[in-house]
Amino acid sequence: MPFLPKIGIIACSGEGCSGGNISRAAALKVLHELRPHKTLTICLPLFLAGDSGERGFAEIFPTITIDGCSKMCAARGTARYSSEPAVKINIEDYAGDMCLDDTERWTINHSTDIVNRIAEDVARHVDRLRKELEEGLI
Amino acid sequence: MVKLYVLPCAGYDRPGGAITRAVAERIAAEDEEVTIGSVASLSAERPGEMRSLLSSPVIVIDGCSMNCARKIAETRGARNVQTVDVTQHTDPQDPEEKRVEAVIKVVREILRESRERPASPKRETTATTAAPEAGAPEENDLSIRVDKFTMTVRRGYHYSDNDFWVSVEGDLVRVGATDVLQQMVSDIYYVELEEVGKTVELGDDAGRLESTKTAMEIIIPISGTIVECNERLVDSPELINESPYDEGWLYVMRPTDLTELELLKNAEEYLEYAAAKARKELERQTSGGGDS
Amino acid sequence: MRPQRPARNSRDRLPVEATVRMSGKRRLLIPCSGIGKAVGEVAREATRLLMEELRPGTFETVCLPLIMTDDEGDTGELVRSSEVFAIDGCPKKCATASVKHAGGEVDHGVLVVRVLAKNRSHRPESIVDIGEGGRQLARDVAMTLIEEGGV
Repeated sequence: MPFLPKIGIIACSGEGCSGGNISRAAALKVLHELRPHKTLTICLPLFLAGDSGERGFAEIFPTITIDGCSKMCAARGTARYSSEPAVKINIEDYAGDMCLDDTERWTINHSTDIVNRIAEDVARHVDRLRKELEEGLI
Repeated sequence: MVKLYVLPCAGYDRPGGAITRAVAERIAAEDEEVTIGSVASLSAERPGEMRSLLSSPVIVIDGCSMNCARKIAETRGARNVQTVDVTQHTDPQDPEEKRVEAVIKVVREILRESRERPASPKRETTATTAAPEAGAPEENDLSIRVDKFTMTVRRGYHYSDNDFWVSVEGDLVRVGATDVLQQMVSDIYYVELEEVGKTVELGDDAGRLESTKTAMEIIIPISGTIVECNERLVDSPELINESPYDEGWLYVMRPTDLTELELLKNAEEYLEYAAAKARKELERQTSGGGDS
Repeated sequence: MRPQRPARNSRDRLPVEATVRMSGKRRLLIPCSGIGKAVGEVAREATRLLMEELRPGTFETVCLPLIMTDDEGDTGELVRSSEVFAIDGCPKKCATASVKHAGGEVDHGVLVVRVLAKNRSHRPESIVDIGEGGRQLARDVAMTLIEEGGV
């Protein structure tokens, strides 16, 4: 097989509310459990702070952003500092406004199902994007 | 079928440039799996062009021995590029069409061989980027990208398989850890160095590093006597991460036998070696849940 | 549907006045919380410890990415007007960089790897699970910040 690039996963991971923690947990599940050899993480703070490696990768290869709320910091930051994400996941589409509830802010207590659903969707997007890369569609 | 990226130099300043362009167009017209690359787009690092370059086998057609297209392809990360130099396969006195035919024949042969060969591991996620911030590669540096990591090797230095470097400074040598090593071990928070005056042999342990991922011995890449230690590392071990070839050096030594340098790799050799090592390490990390 | 639970809204639960010092400034705690390294997870855990266990009601926090992307909102003003406590995981110092990006200054900063150097047995295991060493390191980091910030 010819070389196939990995897909970058960018979680907002914000401490401000539960959505950030859920985005982080979903990203880690994809990166380390569901698609460990097909993805890599792009550290959003490092990316925003100007790291050339993180930004350079996101400029060239597809990325999936996972945002904890409708502010969509990961998606907007990626688009602003590198290039438009291939897929933008908003946790509100799965679970409503998670920032109304603080119980998942630091640990995943009641949101395991949401984390799993998001992670599985992201994994499916990873497979699709890699297939499209392989076929030269993107 | 594997897509192929054919990059003509297409230069206007030499007659061969027009031939490369004609060859690429003819090849692409007869083979739908061929993508014609653009030197200009690679120079500008256009995302789509970079993606094509880095995810396809690459054949470069250069119109003269300056090999501009090969150089730009390699500096943008293509490795083991197959190059066709028009001057090597044609007689400059021949009419242009004859020269085009001659080069097409060579390119067709390479295409055929590319497809018959099992997919080679030589196509890697490599790209050179000149990061503009502090600690960025100098002009004298080679760099290679493995996934999102850009690893730098300094030309003119000598490298051990244990990922330490030696630079010759008059009668003395300076020793340090490579950029590849510092990226693999991640953030270094503790450095213990040997004392000045100690004599060590190539391969000996001389001090140790601790990082958020591992603890390791410093393995000396050349025999000699330590004449200076980098005392700044005691309070600022992160200098090895931030500036491995400059401020993050480890020792200055008086070498016992400079011919030992022949046992070490040069920058180009080490770059290949280190990229393979880094890829293995990344695979191991993604399997083990380490830093990524 | 998520199960209904009593609302515990972070934006309402901590009254703003609880985070105000005598100086009149709010205390803002910003961890790097990078997802690429275990020390980022340690920074996050240290933040949780400070906000939930060690000094509840003392700090506010704000999403770091919001600092970098919220040009229109009031996040930048919050950073500039607060007493800022930053927890950076690695020497890239992303939390500090973000504060500076917003035009603010870090009043009290701590670097996780520097704290680790002082107690090397408290090494985090991995980003997925920082382990007992990582949890101890997070506590070391939190205590360092408490001491340095006098809170």
